[in-house]
Amino acid sequence: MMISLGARARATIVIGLIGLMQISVMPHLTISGFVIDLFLILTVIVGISAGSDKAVGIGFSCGLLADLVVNSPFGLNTLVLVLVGWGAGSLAPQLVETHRFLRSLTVGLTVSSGVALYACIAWLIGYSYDAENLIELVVLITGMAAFFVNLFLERIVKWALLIEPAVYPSKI
Amino acid sequence: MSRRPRSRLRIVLFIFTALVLITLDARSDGGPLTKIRSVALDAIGPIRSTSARMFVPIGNAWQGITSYEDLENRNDFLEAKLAEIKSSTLQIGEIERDRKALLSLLGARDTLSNIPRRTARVIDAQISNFERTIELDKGSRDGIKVGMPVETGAGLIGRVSQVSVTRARVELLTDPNFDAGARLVRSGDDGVASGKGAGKNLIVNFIELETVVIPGETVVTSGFQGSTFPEGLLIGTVVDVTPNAVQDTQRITVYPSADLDRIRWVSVILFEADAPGPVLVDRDFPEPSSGGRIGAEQSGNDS
Repeated sequence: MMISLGARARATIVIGLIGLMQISVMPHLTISGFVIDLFLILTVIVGISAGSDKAVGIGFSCGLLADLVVNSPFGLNTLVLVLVGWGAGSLAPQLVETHRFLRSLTVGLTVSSGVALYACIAWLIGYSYDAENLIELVVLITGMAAFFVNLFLERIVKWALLIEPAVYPSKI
Repeated sequence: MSRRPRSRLRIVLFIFTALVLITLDARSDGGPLTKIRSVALDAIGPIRSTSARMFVPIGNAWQGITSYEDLENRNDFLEAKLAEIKSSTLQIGEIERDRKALLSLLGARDTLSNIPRRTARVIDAQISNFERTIELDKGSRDGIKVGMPVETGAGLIGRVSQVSVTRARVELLTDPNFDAGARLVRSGDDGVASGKGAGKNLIVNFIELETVVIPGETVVTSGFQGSTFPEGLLIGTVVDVTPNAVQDTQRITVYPSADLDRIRWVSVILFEADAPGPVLVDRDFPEPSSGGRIGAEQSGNDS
């Protein structure tokens, strides 16, 4: 799937704005002290809306950006987001024509899996972090937040990547 | 090459790149990746400072909605703590006077108060759930270096983990990677205090089984030679003691004295582990008859 120059520019703008929100706004709008990971949510939405190819690329870019600004091992976010993008992308064919609610639910569950994957890889490479004992809460809250964030971020992603809006079969 | 193998190759390439980056980061301490991060920290610093000014009131209102019960409990806790502090303030003043008098009698210098400090404003806005660091608006140009201890008026909160020209990041003492030499003030026994994660108390290990430890006892940094912390920084108070007869040690649970949730201003203690500094008084106080000898030893060490 080739990405046009216009779509590339729009995707860059979207990633830039998401990055800006992640470092400036989201740290102040926490839920029970947990930050909503917009990079992860964006990667999953791109995966489910546009497939693995685009999601892996967006995941790689978002991961590098996240690695630059956080203090965890460099490359950890990149690895997780590439894997999550690939995983979410493989769900795309089954979900393109489903109801928005179901897609949001899938985004929530995939984001939760992404957080769990991060925790697993962190454990594998021996990286300890402060919220280690609260990982179930991080999984739950990030997943729930992703469900709601998807409701408006999905439209932006589809605009940026020029994806035709899917029509729910019952409306045809 | 058809599209499918090409896209697979791309995924493999991205995963390989990420793995190489993780390996490089693990193997090169202070290498190019650290420098790139420092540049990024400097670049996003002004954005985060501005956004903190803009969004802190909104964030506080949001917290009020999402964590009202927590805030109420916290308020009750702080009121109780305030009453406790009010009653102990006079006592502390008296103890401090006694301590200074004893130090001057022994000819030792109060190193802790002589170490220069740099006050910094905190931008407490974590970007990810997988790191709980706080950001300071001072960096290497203000003399701050990696490893320096950071405290509030209430006690130690952590150490500097990353420094750029204008910014610094602090690893909090609850972080599982945090370790510091600790000393029980009453008995003078030493151990190692380790972080156990967000919202959890610290654990001090390697305290001898024979040592009598009382809940409420104060724990400070031990400041052994080569330690990144000077002696006498307040860590917290003992809340629980678990003996381990097999290892012949005790495991002490310590409640941190500084409030790590709402930090606005901190002091970075410009203390370097390897820098030659004055040696503190020996904690094994001498018998009255041998006081002069210890004083002489002390001045000998200083030179």
